[in-house]
Amino acid sequence: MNPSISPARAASTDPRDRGGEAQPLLIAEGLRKCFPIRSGLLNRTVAEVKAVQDVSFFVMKGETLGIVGESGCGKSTLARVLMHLIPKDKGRLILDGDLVEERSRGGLSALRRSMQMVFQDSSSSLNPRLPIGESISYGPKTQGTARKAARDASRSLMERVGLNPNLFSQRYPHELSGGQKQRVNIARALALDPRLLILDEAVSALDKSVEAQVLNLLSELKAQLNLTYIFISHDLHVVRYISNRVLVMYLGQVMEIGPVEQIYRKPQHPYTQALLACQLSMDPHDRVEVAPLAGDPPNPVNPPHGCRFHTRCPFVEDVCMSSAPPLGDILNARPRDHLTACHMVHPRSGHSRAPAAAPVH
Amino acid sequence: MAHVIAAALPARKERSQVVKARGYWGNVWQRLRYDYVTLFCLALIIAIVLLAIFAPLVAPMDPYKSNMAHRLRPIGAPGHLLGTDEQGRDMLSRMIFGGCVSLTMGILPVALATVIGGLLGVVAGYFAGGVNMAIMRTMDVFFAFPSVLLAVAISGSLGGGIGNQLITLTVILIPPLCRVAETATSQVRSMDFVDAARSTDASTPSILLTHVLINILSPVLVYASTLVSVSIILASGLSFLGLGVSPPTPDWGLMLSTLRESIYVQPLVSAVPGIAILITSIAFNLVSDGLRQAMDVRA
Repeated sequence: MNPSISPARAASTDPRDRGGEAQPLLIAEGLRKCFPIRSGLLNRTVAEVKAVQDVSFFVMKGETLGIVGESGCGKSTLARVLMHLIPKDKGRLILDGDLVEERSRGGLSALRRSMQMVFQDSSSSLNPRLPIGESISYGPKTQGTARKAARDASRSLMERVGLNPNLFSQRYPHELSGGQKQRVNIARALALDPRLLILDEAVSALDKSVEAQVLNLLSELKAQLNLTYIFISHDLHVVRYISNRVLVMYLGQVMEIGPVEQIYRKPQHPYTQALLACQLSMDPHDRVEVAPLAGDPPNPVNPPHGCRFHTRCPFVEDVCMSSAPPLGDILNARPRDHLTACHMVHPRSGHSRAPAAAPVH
Repeated sequence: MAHVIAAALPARKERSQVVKARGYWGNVWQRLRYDYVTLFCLALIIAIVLLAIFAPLVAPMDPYKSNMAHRLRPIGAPGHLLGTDEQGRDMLSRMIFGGCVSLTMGILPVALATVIGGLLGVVAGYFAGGVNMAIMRTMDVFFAFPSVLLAVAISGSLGGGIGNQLITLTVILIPPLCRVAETATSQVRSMDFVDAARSTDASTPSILLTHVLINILSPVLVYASTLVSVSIILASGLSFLGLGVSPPTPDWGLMLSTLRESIYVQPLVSAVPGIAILITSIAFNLVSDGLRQAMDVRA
């Protein structure tokens, strides 16, 4: 089912590799981003939207990490923080063993060359006044590539994403369909020869047949160019199809992380279970009569104490309201480890359903 | 037969698609071509500009030569197509020469203010926060005064003359243009393609030039073209008040002012400069209207 290549092979064949196979391509450590809400005469900060709170994870070379969660859970903010499009409040990024120094321009441009992003809204992510050939070649040009070389590169990238450069390079974004625009976005992201692509809802706005084409294109490109993906989506089917590992976010925190089949077959967190229960089934007899997840997520300005999910969790107990369940030592975990931030999983947590002894992986 | 058609179709499709895209300005021109009102007004403006530029060649008489015997002749008087003014100078010649000053006062301050105000607006819109605050609050100070009052105040302190009138009008026109540019920029700033450009590690000037300026050009240019008529009228007003060009220089506003006293003797002749200002400003307004339509369509 999963067309992506094995992570180990990708890392060993890439000349850009620095840290070796075992070194994750990107480590995010304790990322935090709050948006201040200002009001009043003096523009004082009266509250904060806690969009991303202490998120840590790593991405192995050549793998696809899926990030799922309801809208508003901080997925897109996380993507923008990773890309340094918005400054983070706290945390560190380690790119192939090198700490990304934000203060130095060199560290940031290395990061920006190695990581690129495909945006969700394909219409606002292309400059309406620029022919798409120039949109693609803009990145290389600003990096000092000669005009001619950048144009040739843009043409070959267009071919790579399945657009005939003779027909398309002079066209403007409004002359393209949604799927074509998203192909252009992918080509533009690839123009700087990145190692990691962050796909923020990259296929969510497309209709199903085009979505499938673009997903296949992404799989091909990943194999050809030794790419690593962070695939952000609310579509659980698509995430299952494309990901090696899945990270489940809720209200700015990681609820569960693990290999894709373990998450989908044996979800441990009640939130993940509820999310998966929301998926539409192919079997008409297998209907969900009651919505497994009622209501909206709580306000991220005032997230609940203890476990963030306790207001909607069917198994809530006193311990959930008083103390936040830890996810575990995610940065020292192995890629195949399945970690869950839930009291019901951790032994002796005080929850009546908690196992007596340590769980066996 | 069927496969012949099938074979011919893709070829024709291919050819029609290979045609080089017209580009943004090409599309604007395509839409303008069939907008006859705009084209007519554009032609009118060009004609007025040409008349003003070649005034010494076109004007039938010397605009400064007075003739007390032929004061305030009516329109259509022999030798004086538009009559004569209160000193017996030929109105037609004075109108043609006066257009030069009036058009300069209409176009030059707007052009200067577009560059300065536009730049300030782009900077304010792109760098939100403190920079925006500093620039936009300063503009708000100017907005607090009625524009004519402000013009009179600045002109009064600088003194009369063409140069000072130019400075006055430019200062008056900067705040509204800055505001339009700022609004447009902050809209463009929030679009994903700016973030995409930032993530390629491009320099800020490069992003502003390639991605921001080109997208705010149409609202700013269209707004600027509406200001041309405002500027002409303001300049005429200042000349009328004696704060602009000084007599005997022919200028539409000044002529309106000096002929005011003769309005009961020769109402039609007194109205001629006013009509010229009216026609010119309407023409500029209609052209800007047409431009807005042609440039706004995201076909």
